[in-house]
Amino acid sequence: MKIKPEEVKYIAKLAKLHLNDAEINQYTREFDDILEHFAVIASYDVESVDVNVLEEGQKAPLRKDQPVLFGDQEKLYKNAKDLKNGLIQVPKILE
Amino acid sequence: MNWETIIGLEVHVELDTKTKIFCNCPTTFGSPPNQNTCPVCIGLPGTLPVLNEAVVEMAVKAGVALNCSIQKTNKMDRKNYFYPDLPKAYQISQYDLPICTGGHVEIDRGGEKRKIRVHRIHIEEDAGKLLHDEEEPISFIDYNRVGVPLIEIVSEADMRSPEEAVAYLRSVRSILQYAGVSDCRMEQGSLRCDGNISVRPFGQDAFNAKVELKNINSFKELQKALEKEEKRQLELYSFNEGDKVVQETRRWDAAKGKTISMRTKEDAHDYRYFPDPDLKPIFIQEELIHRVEKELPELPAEKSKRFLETYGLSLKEVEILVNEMALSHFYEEVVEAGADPKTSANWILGDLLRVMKEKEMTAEEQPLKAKHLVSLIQFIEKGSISVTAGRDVFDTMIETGKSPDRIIEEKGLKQISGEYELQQTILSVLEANPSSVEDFKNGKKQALGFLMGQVMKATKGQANPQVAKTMMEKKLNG
Repeated sequence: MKIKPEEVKYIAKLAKLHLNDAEINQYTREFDDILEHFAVIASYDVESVDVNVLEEGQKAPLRKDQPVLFGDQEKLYKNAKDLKNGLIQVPKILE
Repeated sequence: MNWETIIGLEVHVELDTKTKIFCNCPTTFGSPPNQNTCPVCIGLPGTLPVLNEAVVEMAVKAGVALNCSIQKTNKMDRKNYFYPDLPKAYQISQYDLPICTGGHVEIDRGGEKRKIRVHRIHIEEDAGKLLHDEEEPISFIDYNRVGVPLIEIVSEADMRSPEEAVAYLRSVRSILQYAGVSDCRMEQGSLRCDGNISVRPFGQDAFNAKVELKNINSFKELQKALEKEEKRQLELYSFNEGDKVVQETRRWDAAKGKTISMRTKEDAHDYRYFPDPDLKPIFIQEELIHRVEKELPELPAEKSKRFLETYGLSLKEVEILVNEMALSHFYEEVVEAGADPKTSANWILGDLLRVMKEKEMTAEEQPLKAKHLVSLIQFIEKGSISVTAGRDVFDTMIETGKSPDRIIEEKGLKQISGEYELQQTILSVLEANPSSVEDFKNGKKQALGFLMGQVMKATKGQANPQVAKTMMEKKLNG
């Protein structure tokens, strides 16, 4: 095992997830499987591959810089608990 | 022991695009709260970001203007952190393949040029704005700024004093303004800056712990914040408390004039970057780079050179004019309309800057029209009004926006330069003051001053002093 349960706990903390022991064990195992897969990819020598050679279909499509207002803010913020003058009201956020 | 200060800056600049980086929402500043938002920028499930081509073009422009290499293949990554100003709980940024790398900016330190290296420039999206209620324990969120395109310019730790850091920031700001990449208005937050600072004994190679300073909103604050932090670190080292200088983020509190630790969170920097699976790599065509290079407007360095060669101004004058793009454009407008280059510079660098400072206006906001300043300068040159009256006209122009001829007319400031008009006044002054005339003829040259004063009084200060004096001397000696 490359991944330790402590690391899973730490990552869960960063992601604000509460995991029980069974879940931690499960994710430790799954993380490890994923890393093993990446180890296979990492074993290929790509030193000589030029990253600047991309095929047409691989590059990002771009958008014209033309503004459009979405317009339906009521629908957009339907799920916000409290709105005040268009602002979303939340409990005090401390630094 | 001699100490050396090491400073690096991270400069965030909002790009001057019409729409956000990944959606069509407008980027207008000051819109009603949450109006410029849509399902894409507030990160609703099922939406996909599509990159704005103007962002790529402007970032390339910024890179070219700051002497960087453009990375033909670059990509967007997710930077994960939880804060309510970020609706997706990650910021789309660039991690290991930024759009530009390795540039430099030249700064002037007491006549000596210094190169400050730019480590990289990457593109990313801005976060929203939080407003905190002063009385009740509530906060408000405005997402209008979420997704506004930014470039982050990361310098190398090449600056050795707060002054150099300020000079670098000024330089970057004016280059980007000239390049047309951003309006760089610090007061509106379209240019923001974090400073990294550490100190070490002279000759030491390794860096000591560095402190990141946040919340710096002006050149003045940057200078003050860096000076204060430099002093704090030096004091701790000199009292053998160097272990208290730790790698941390400190917030600059402008009101208190000090930096405050933002509670060292050991995992705050663990952003778990990974390539954004919603966005394919960005591939920059050679043609785009060539076009940007070709179309790049005159940058501050070239403009300074041209001003020095063309207008006969001093280095200092050119520096002040060129640093503020709006000011340099105004100056050229005035000169191109036919005003004398040196006189125009004197008015702009003297009276205009004074008024701007008094009224806390930026060069963009100042109301003076170029054609009005040109005609004011010409009125004075022709002797139609005195320089003193000119000052008065200038201030009134700023206050009212009226043209100088109208102000001169309304205030009755027109100078009497015609010998015909002055003749009668001079004769009556001489007649009314025979003793002074006598004194002058007996060699008391001061009497001339008194007589001139009488002429000025009689004409309510409107007589052209040079003309009147010459005429008077002629009469007295004749």
